[in-house]
Amino acid sequence: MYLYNNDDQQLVDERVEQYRDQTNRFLAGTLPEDEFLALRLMNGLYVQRQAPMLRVAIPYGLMSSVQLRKLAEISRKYDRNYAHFTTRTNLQFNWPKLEEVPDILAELASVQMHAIQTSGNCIRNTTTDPYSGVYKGEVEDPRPYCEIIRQWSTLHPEFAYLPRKFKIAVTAGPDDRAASRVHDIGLHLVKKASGEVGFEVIVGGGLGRTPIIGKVIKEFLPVEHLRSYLDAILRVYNLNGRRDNKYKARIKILVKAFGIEKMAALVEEEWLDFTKDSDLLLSTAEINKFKSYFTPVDYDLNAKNELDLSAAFAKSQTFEAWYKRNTVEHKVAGYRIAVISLKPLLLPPGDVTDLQMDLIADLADQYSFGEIRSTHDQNLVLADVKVSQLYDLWVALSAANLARANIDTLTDMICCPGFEFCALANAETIPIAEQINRKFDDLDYLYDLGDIQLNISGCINACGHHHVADIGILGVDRKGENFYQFTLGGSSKTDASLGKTIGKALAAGEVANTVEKILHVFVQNRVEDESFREVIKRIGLEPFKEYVYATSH
Amino acid sequence: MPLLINGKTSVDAWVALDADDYSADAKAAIDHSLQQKNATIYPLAVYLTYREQLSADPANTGVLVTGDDNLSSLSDLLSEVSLIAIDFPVLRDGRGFSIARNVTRRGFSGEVRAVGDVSYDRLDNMQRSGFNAFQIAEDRYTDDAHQAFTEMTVNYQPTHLR
Ligand code: SF4
Repeated sequence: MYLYNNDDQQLVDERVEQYRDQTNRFLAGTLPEDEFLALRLMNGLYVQRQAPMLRVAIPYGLMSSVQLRKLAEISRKYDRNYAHFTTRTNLQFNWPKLEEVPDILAELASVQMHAIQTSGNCIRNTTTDPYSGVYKGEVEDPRPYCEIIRQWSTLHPEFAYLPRKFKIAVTAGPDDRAASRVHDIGLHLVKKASGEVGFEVIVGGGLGRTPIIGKVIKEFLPVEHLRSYLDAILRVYNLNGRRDNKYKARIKILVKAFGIEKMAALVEEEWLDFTKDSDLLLSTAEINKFKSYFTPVDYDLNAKNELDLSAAFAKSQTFEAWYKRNTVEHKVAGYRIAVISLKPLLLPPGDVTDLQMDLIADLADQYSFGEIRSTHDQNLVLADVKVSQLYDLWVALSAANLARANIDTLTDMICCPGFEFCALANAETIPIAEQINRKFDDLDYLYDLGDIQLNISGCINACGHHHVADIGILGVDRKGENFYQFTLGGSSKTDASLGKTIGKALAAGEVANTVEKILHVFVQNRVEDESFREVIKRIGLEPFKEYVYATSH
Repeated sequence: MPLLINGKTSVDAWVALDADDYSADAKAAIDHSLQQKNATIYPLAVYLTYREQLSADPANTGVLVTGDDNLSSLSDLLSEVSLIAIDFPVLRDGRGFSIARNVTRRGFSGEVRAVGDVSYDRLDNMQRSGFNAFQIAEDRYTDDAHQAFTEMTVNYQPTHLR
């Protein structure tokens, strides 16, 4: 993974002191509240319903065991012994004290971490494929490019006060595990027949009030122009994006207003006139330097001789289920990618305790070269586990309630914090997730259903990505009571699409029953092993609407 | 209002075109301003209207630009002025950073002055985007303002320095 040099370290150290000074001036009353608001947001600090919330950046979802142990320590020392992974692959502390945040930042800096630009109207943490570098189908490892983006965007003097927040996602190839089409910018690594590698660039996707699937702005951008082209897009956006209405300020609205052709022409002009051959152009040597941080780990070549798990499967069916659901093929024979489910029964999706973090750090050291990844789906990944060690890993994870074999099933939900933790929420989300979990605790039933994405958001801001789920649930407030609206047929994958509403919102107590009805229609109409998505595509929403809203069954 | 130029507190050698005079009788106000031979800052739209007269004396002519102005017209008058003041109407409006960048990279070497909502915590960003002069409101100015430029000594955007 990327290691800080002296300059990188000095930058985060100086930023800590700068932020400490800003906090002190705010507490002393010499920095006006609205100015401090903008400054603290750019450093990841929100003030929420119950307490401040601090969001720590995990650049493109990659962290070392040392860093994870530090996060565990911080949760013990400054918080309530737990933390929460977000869909931006960042980590949130829900109970820090405003006065102690500078100290927390100093602790983070000691392990090459920070909270820079995890909030506010600036360029946020870049996300990518959690299987980067180890997945068979990838064009290239996208992480060197993510690190290039991280550095270019970090404390960029010109883009700190954008019209609105700005999110970039990078995929490793055709498979999209980063929801890139619903980002402000999506970058897809592609390879020409000639072997030349570049990016397909998507712009103007997003969720929230106005969900939009992004459009292609450049079909092929050679990798050396990554920085210069992003710089051009950002300048066009900074100068032209709307500033009069925060709900219309994202780049997706600008792209919609201009049309993709005009947007592309403006960016192209900016790029050709100024940035393309400027210092932003990446030399091969520079790209190679970034690549050198992400070379394959030292795999054991004998691992391929120990692939037989039949004895372990005979010992435990649960292990077999976990192997099938929670591990993924690795590009090196003898290894698997193991997904740690942060979706246990009856606990908030994405939450981890300090002890679990310590344990995962230890397991990463023991079984996966000391690295951990966080995913867009709010799970964790150990990317390089020997097949022969999977059983031992599973035993250790099981003991810590981290081995629920539910990856990509109905209960592997994305769920925003909702009413309990978010000042903007209209409705509860975590109790709804719990209600669904209680109803669908039969894993065999879930396995029969196959891959289904269910996402829950507590308000129209859509942090739970409900628009791009097979089953999306949006909490709304009706005269002080929580109601839930269902959308079906969304996807954030390669064939991204927005779900459609099936009818009026339903009472909180009806949510799990409604999910059951939806699944009933799916099962009734399913041909062989069709996925939920395939069935929806084939039969449309009508049968679901009819059954869910029929007066009696 | 305190003015920092290249990190030092400076006396303002410029006056702004009197807005009241201008709205009462535009032509008279322009003639008067030219007779005074003061170094004067004109709103960009005014400058464009009287460009023929005003472009005669670049050393004493400046323009005030806001994010809502027609920015493409700005790029071809850079040789006719020696000061460009860029307005930050509110804290959240960051268009001025890109406007400054646009004029400096097109070779403008005169004074690029930040006006409006200008305060300590954004001075460094402004300087690194191309500004070299900062007009700070009286109640937001402190004598340690120049320290804002040295809080961060490393950055990832070296090309942005003038
Ligand atoms: S979707 Fe709404 S409730 Fe949920 S985290 Fe986002 S803003 Fe808060």
